[in-house]
Amino acid sequence: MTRPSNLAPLRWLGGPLIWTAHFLLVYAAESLACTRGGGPLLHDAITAVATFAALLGLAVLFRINKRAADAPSREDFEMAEWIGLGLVAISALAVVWSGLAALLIPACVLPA
Amino acid sequence: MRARWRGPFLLLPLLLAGCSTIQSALHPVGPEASRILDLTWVLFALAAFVTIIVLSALALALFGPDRARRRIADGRTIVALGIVFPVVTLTALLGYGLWVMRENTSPSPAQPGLQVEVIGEQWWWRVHYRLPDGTIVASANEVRIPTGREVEFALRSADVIHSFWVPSLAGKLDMIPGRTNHLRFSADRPGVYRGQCAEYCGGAHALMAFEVVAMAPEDFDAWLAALPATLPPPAEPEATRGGELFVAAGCGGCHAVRGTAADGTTGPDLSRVGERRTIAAATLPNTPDNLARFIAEPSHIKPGVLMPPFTVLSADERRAISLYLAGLR
Amino acid sequence: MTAAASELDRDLPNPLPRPEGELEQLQAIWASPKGWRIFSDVNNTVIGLFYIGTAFLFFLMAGVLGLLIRLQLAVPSNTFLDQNTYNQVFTMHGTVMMFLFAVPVVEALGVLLLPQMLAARDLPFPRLSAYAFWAYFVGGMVFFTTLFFDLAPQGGWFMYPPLTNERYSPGIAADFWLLGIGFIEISAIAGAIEIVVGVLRTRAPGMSLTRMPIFAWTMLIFAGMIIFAFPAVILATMMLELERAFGWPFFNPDLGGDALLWQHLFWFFGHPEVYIIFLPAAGMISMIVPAMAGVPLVGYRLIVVALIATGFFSFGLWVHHMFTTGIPVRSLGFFSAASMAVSVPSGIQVFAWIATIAAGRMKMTAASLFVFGFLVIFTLGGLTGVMVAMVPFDWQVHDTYFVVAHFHYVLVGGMVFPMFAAFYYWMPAISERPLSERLGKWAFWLIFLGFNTTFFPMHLTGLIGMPRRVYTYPEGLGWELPNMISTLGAFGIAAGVGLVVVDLIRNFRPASSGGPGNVWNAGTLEWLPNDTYATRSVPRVVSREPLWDQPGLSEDVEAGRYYLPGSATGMRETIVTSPIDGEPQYLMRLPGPGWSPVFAAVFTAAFFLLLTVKLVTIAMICGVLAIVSVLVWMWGSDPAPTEPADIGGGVVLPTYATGPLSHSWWAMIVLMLVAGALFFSYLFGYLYLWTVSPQNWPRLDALPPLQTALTAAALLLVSGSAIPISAALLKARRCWPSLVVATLGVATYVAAITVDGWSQWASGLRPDGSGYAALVFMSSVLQAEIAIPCVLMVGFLLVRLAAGRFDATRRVMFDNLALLWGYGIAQALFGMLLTHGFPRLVG
Repeated sequence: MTRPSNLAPLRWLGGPLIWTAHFLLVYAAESLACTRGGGPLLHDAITAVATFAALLGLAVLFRINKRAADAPSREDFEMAEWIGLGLVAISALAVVWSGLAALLIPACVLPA
Repeated sequence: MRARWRGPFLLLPLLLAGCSTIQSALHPVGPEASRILDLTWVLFALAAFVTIIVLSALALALFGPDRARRRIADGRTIVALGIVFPVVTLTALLGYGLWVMRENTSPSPAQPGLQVEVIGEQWWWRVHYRLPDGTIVASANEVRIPTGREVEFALRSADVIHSFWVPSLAGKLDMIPGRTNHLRFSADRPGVYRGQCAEYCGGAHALMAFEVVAMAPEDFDAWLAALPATLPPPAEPEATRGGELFVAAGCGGCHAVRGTAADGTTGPDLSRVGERRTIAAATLPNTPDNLARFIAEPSHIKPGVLMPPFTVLSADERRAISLYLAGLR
Repeated sequence: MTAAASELDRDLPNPLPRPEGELEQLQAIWASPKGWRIFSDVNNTVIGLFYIGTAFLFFLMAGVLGLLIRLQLAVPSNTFLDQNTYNQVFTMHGTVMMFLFAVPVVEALGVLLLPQMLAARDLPFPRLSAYAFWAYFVGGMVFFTTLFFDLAPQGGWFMYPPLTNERYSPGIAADFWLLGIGFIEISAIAGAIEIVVGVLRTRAPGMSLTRMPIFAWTMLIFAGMIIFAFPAVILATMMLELERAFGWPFFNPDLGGDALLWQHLFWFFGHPEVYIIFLPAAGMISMIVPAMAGVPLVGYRLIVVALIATGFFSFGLWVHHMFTTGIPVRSLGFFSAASMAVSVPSGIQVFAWIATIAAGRMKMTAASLFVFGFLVIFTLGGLTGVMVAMVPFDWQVHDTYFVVAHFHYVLVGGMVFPMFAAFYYWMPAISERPLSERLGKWAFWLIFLGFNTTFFPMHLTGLIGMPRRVYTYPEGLGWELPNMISTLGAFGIAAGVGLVVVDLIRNFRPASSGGPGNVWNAGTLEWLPNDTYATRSVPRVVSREPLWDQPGLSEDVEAGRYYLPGSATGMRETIVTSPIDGEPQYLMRLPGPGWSPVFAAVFTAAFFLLLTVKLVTIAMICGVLAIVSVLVWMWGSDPAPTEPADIGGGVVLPTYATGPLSHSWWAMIVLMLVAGALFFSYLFGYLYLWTVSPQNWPRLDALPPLQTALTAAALLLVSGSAIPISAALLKARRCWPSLVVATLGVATYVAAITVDGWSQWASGLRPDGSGYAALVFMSSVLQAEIAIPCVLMVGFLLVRLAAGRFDATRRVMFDNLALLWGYGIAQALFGMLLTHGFPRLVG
């Protein structure tokens, strides 16, 4: 019987935290790439790399959380680990959707 | 400071009789607005479908037979209806929405058929047409465009944030001080389409409207070509007197009439004011009576307006000026 | 269940009789002051009621403003309200509903219900709650009365500059908004700190995170979101006030500012705000549905996932409100994607509630009806939310009555209906009589039908072209009929709300003890027998619905057979537990009634409001009095350690804790997160303005010399190294040398940020010169805002040491100083890296 460490909440919240980092990065990068040089190609590259990295990070986190969830522990702690896994999954969905936006819409185009 | 007028709007129906569709996103007359309306119907259909699912699930949960209730209470139902179904539909919807967005903003290869700059000011619209030879001609509160040609609007603001919106033709775009936003759209058929400021801009925000008049291309070209010209002096003596009074009363300090001594730029350009369908930023029908009333007490029609009342002029004098203005066409 | 059963294998419940006089002592210690002295009370049951009452009053008053709006728009060209009055009325309707009703009422319900639900005797900082309430009460009331003096702001509730700058909004109305709201935001943050520490550290023994009631989860996320969202709007209001008062041109494009900067900062707060309001309401629904259906919530863990995901994703939506400003379309796509992502958790919750309803047998009570109303209206609001998240559709309906309909469906459906459900549901727990079911059902139907009559037609009104915030409209555009219907419906809502008020007047009698009890047969701890001290004894919890799973719990708790059946130290106290598994760690002693928080709040409010009307001298006096009141308040806090206390069940707890174990350390960490979020918002503003007008960034030779910057940085490092030295001296029980080092260290810190600010000034930079310059000096403002409390704290410690109220063991205040001071140094170093390094990097 194990109980989660005091740092476990970071693991549980890891999914949304990765989403946050990815979101801020791709959004800020468009402002910078389009106004301060680099252009659409640079932003395409940044978005592709960031999205790939975020999904990879989520996959790794999923494995880590899964291992913790599989370890025998009290019922309510098991549920906490499960919540961490759920958050990774929903964050992955959100990252994929951001990627979809970049895939369908060209960078550095203003509404007209 | 209760406004003491009621009349102006009572006259509008005469003008607008039978055309409650001139400011409606549900009555598009251009490809941009039409594409958005298609999206709108898809969204409404989907929303109705989801509402039906939720309401029937709720009704079954409350009053349904035990078997149905057991099934709804099952965790798998939450996963199916609460996760899988939304994820699938939202993914499709997101893709569709993004596609419409790309279509509506993709830079068209052709040069725009007309370039117009519109500057939002508290509480009216300054309009600058760019002629084919590059000269700029000023107007206000009404934009004429040719049908079937894409028009590019450069949108700016002189003071606070406004928003340029003609629902029948396209979605809105804000006019932000220090920035220029560009909006392109075209009209399929001739007509009058009403627009209105959509971003709260203080005071008389409610009274900051305008009209887009779409004309057949050949009519429009002729009109635009004649726009810079100086109009011949009025024939009627009363209008002639009005023209003199217009200058003498100092109207030209704020308003311009091309080819005359009146060259002020603070207020709306009046060079072709007689042609416009409305005055006071689409607040009143353009009649000599309404013009005279506006000259007398502008702030009764548009509270907060910069123009002072001209009650120092006699009613006859105001009448003369309004006849002069009505003749500027 | 076997694991949980083994947890109960302790000496509880204790069958032995309780000593005589124990209960009487507990009652005496927790007794509320009598008569008008009740206003000095700090107990959550009292403050919570004041809080809810005030928020509900603002709801009624802002509702009347809504009726005025509807009357004016009933017919075209109406002259019932003139332009100027109407603009004030709609601005105040939105502002009051959002800032003075929605957030406070949710916070108030948290203050009132959380301790009961967690079986804590009170929240960890009762005086802070009292302060937050009184600050809100005084500030809010004065702010509302501006309406009667034609001094109310008229810039709309989101106050976009340049319309709200000094040029286009002269006079003091906009300042009332900025200072009044800024001040209420601070009160919200105080409440949020209280709630975070309360939920994480004062739960019943055994109540691990996943045994918490959903409402506690939602309040935790609510408070966490306030901590990250509100600083953005606090920064924005500070900046706009500096622009108005001193001409610092943050938002003025002529001088290198940018009007959209305000929108980014405002909506970075404003969108999460919607979920800040909605999540606790969803939490209430998740409490009421299981109780009414008589079964545990189906999908508890999915709901927790949904709540946390909502908390995060809602921060990725702020540009949602700026789709028409001309931002690059791919960025709009990112925000559209995040808007989709945030609707998934809502779907999960809706179907989890429906599943719970199906799993049990729903009692058809007034509370249930309001829950159903919530489900229907909120679903519709969520669907129109998905619609406006589609960017092209939003280009049409943005700033029209469609959006007015949408957000009323979301906010009234998502928050007001749950609030009424909560009134009818929890009233038996706090009032001697429950509310009338008959009146409640009538009220529900009136409000539900009235609401839909009012707001459903507005979807159409917007699509056929009616923009929002217009005081009148012409005939002939087809808007007459839907507007008339909306106005009629509004009176239906008013009638329903009126019935609730009648019901409250007839039946609501605050119960200090007793009341009808657990009339719904609910499973959570707030339904244990209650008094001002909460429960007689504090149960050990082994499941999420203890009242269902532990038979006889109510009787055992009431008979004092669990933990802490009396007062162990002779003071008000509550058990502090560990944040994840809820195991007892120490016994915290709580302050009793006192006037200092009331005075502190009144004088803080007076300071801000007098500043608004430019009575600077009196304002300053009030500011000093506010600080004095806080010092008086703090003087009595941090009581000296005593012998460990036996709380029963074989558990003996220390009565004092320092470092990460202490609740005070946690509060300071949360406060540092607030400061960090504020600085992050500032960082965003700096970089944002640089992308907009890089031409204002100075050439290298115009920057202050690098040597000065390095000197200031060196001073900061020296100051930082004083922290461990000072702490080591304290550990060695050398208190005076420790504080001398701390004093010198803080002085060095102040010197460093002064040198830095001065070097910018000496280089010829003036804050009113450009947006860039204003931002550079804004950094100094943010540094000073950390440094000044550090100076006050070190001075306060010196006095306490002289008075014998501070030593090597009783050192919580020192720990707090060390944390804040260390944070301040880090923030100052980062700020200098930005203001000196960034221009050199890009120059």
